[in-house]
Amino acid sequence: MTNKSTHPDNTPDSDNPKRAHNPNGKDGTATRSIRVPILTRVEGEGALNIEFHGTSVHRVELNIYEPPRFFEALLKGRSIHEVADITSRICGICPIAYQVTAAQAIEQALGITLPYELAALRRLIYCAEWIESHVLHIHLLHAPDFFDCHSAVDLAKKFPLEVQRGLKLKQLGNRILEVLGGRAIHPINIAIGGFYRLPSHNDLSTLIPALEQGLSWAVDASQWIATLPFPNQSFPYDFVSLAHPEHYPIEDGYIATNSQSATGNSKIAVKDYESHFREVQVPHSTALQSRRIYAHQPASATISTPETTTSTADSNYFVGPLARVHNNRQNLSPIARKLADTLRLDTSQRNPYHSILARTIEVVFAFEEAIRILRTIQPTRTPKVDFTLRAGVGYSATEAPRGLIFHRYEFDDLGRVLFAKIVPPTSQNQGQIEADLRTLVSQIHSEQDLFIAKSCEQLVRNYDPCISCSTHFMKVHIHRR
Amino acid sequence: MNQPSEPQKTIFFGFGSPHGFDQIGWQIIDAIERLLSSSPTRIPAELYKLNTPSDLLNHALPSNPDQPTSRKPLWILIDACINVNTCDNAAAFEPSPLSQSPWIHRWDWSSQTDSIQALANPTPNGSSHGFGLIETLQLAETLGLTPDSVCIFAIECNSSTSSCANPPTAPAVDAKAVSYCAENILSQLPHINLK
Repeated sequence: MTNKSTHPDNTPDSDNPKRAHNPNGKDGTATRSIRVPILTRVEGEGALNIEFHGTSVHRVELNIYEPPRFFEALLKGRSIHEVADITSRICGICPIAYQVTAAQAIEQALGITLPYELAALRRLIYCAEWIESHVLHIHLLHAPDFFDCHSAVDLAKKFPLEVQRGLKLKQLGNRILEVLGGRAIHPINIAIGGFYRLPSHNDLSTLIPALEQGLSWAVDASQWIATLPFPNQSFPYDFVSLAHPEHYPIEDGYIATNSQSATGNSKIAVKDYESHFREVQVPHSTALQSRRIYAHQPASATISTPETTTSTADSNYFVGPLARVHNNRQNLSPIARKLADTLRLDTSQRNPYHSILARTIEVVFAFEEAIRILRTIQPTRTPKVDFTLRAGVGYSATEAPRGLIFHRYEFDDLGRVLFAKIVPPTSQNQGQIEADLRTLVSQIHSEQDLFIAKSCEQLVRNYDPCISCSTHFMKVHIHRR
Repeated sequence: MNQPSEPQKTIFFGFGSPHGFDQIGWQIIDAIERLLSSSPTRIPAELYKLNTPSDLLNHALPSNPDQPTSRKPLWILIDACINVNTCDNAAAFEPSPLSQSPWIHRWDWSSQTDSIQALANPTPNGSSHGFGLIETLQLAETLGLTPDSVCIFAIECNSSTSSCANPPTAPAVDAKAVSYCAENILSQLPHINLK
């Protein structure tokens, strides 16, 4: 493997003519090395290494080099009342996902059931985060790919009205977060048993007209996104997401998959998550990767890496908006469901490039759901449920914007955390991203390195990876031998 | 007969957080608010404390697009900065000749000027994490959302150190320094007369 110098403009080294062709004297095989220093427009930093032996793909690695953040260890000894706010610091884009999942896990252990109004407000603030996170990724990070734009600024030159509309949608998500969460960045209002403080019913009701306008903008945005030139690609995904018999899943439900587990069941109870999914350490990444278990093995069993044959007992899986829509299409809100049909979002094609369309359908859903909640909740003066502290073990899974997130906590009778486990969406998608990339580069290996690098980056962005979240990620290195 | 022209509104944005020297942007906003409110002259101004540069876009978007805007306001952006004169990118931090102090720096926004471009993230990755003040202003300008005048004031927070690797994160910002910065910034804005 040859590492070459870094170009500040992200141009692969192989585009430097002096480095593009470098015969290997020993076996006569041409050697090419490409290094793109930063994979752009993903959240956080990491690298992508691709190595060819002749025309075959030898290695594809997502190298997440952000340092481990040790949140699970940080939580040990802390009060359960601190867990939601500490874990929210894992991510500035999806703090609500961490807060709600943590709070629900602790509430589950304590036997707390939220009344409808408080549960509905939890779902409302989660809708706000879906809007804010999805709209940001769609308009500033991902849509530029489809128009060969280098950045959101370049995209804004071509589509100023569309980008400005995206910013307005994000503004509306932020407004809900401010009203209900106290502030848009790292909201601070989720408490064990509900909320620390509730906004007035009038403060909530006054959001409705702006959200109705937002719903109209979101529909327009999804119709624009549906016109994007989606590459034709298909992968055999195992779509994993929450599902619920009565509504589109955000904060509750069981885990639905497209393939049967070892027990022959495609429905997995949240409490059984760790019996069906496990995290493994890979040498090239500081982040753990998740695998689906198809046979019962001890958690310390085979470590699967791209260099070794993946155990038949473990498999990659796909979490995120495309999986959610696939598993829950029937429960989308009316306008979102109609749009998914009229815009021909066919998740059975398993085309990862349709993720951006699924994301925009979910923005429409989130607006509809937020409006529905605001129209139906009754005024309540009690921000949280009283409870009696006791030792316990609790777990919860919710749907972060990027996909399924799982938390488990154990705490003593004084409410001190003894154990914490946090599995974010990007950790779960990493293995699948590497598998997708291996297939893609094998299909386009004869193309120029710059084209390969750009294609790989676009493929990765389908997942809206949040590297900082997973650090538990991006430079691209392509090596040809 | 012409209507008397509406005075230009000045919008002050302080960037920061409640911690260390990063809070100086917010504290200067508080100090400017005190100075403006104690002035016998009514000065049309708005003041905001923002967490991140991209929050500026929320204020750049017209609240009511159907309502014609009157005169575009002047934006004053205030943030803490680290003096990189001892680092690699010295050219970016040439003190403005308007500054009365070597640790208050001023730039008048224009995306075409080299000194502004030098402030951009040297290794942009385009994520929201890397979407800094200059990138935000570039996007706002592309969308026609920036006013005619944008001034950036950067308060140097490590002038007493020579190590870029260890900028001071003081537990509290000196109140006198905050007052001095507020008065200095206002003194550089000729359309604001506190007397």
